Amino acid sequence: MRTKTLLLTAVLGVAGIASSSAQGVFSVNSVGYVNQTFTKGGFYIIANPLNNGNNQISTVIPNAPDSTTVFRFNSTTGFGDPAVFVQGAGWFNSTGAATDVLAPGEAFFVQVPNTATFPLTITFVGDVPQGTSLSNPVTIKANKFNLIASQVPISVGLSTTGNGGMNFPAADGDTVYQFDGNAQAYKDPISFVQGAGWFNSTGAADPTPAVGEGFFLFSGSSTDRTWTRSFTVN
Amino acid sequence: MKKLLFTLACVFAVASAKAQGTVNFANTAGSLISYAAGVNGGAAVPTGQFTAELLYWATDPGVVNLNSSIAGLTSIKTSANFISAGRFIGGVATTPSTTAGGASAWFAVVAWQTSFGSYDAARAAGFYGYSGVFQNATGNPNSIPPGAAAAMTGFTGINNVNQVPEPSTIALGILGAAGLLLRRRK
Repeated sequence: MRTKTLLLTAVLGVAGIASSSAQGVFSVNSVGYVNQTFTKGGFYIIANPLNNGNNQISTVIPNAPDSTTVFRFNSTTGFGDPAVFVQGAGWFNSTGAATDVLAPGEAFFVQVPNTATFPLTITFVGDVPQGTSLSNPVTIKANKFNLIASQVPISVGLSTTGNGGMNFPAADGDTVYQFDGNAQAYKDPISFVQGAGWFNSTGAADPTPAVGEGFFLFSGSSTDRTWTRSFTVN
Repeated sequence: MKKLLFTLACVFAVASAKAQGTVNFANTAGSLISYAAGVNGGAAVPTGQFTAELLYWATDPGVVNLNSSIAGLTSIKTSANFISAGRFIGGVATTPSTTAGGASAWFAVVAWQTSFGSYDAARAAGFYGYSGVFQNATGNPNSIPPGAAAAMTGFTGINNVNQVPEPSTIALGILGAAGLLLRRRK
């Protein structure tokens, strides 16, 4: 899976200017797109990296090869009712039209059918999430698997900080499982050791998901937590 | 016909290989590998000196005496990748096909001083430790969608690592020396 990001930074909006002071207060919306390219059929852990309206599956992925399937994950109940794309009809699960919300920060499995034409590109469009207190919609559940992604479209190590960093609140014993779509297998898991950093079975390794790539996180903490960060497009 | 049988055998082999469970062979701050009380103050073992080894049973083996040779037991993973005192990260261990992916299996962890080359050699010299047998879930990498390797939550650590020769080893040494002395006197 290859990811191409284009943040048009088409600086759309200027929301408002404070009337009572000389200091301008404004918000800048950056719209853009992220291409996810798949070279073969199989499973991939991806995420919607941009806010697009209601973020419902039919909005976020309006078109896909017939039988493309999306599996969302709940830390407590496991995988839920999958959503399947029916060409010419849209997304459906076992109870009817699928209304799953794929918000930035929540990762999910997508199963690309072998019958698709490759390379296959799925394009996400929308606004870059920005703000001083961006909370990942997935609460990291204590001592459980969580399927998450970066809430903003960047690709840097989880240990990085600052505006351009992941700012991931790692806890001792956290383990990251990334899925290799080419190999159709999990990569060597990477665990966090307090005071030492991130390591896999061969040495130091900062988990660095691609833009729009999700991963399983097994929480080493005994308490729930939220991945909260600030981010602005400079 | 031979070709068909070969193909069927290959399909069966692939199916069998895919039916295995996975665990993440790593411990946590709550399941350290430590010396026995009275040895180095019961501290966690240092980095760069020990190897952790994962033993496996498909069904509950009951009481297993790991204070003896592990020859004949099923070892599925070793790791000398100790990141900090008592903490190792060994990567994914795959069970034999006797445990289906997602099912539970029984495991134990032994730790031994790497320089001896094996648990049994280190045990003979007195530089080893072992856990109790524990039950643990496995992950199923072949489920739909694929499941990640299960965390080794059943492992509660090792707190009996020795660093001195066992009394039996010392006794054997004394006996040997005594034998040599007696032979020389004769």
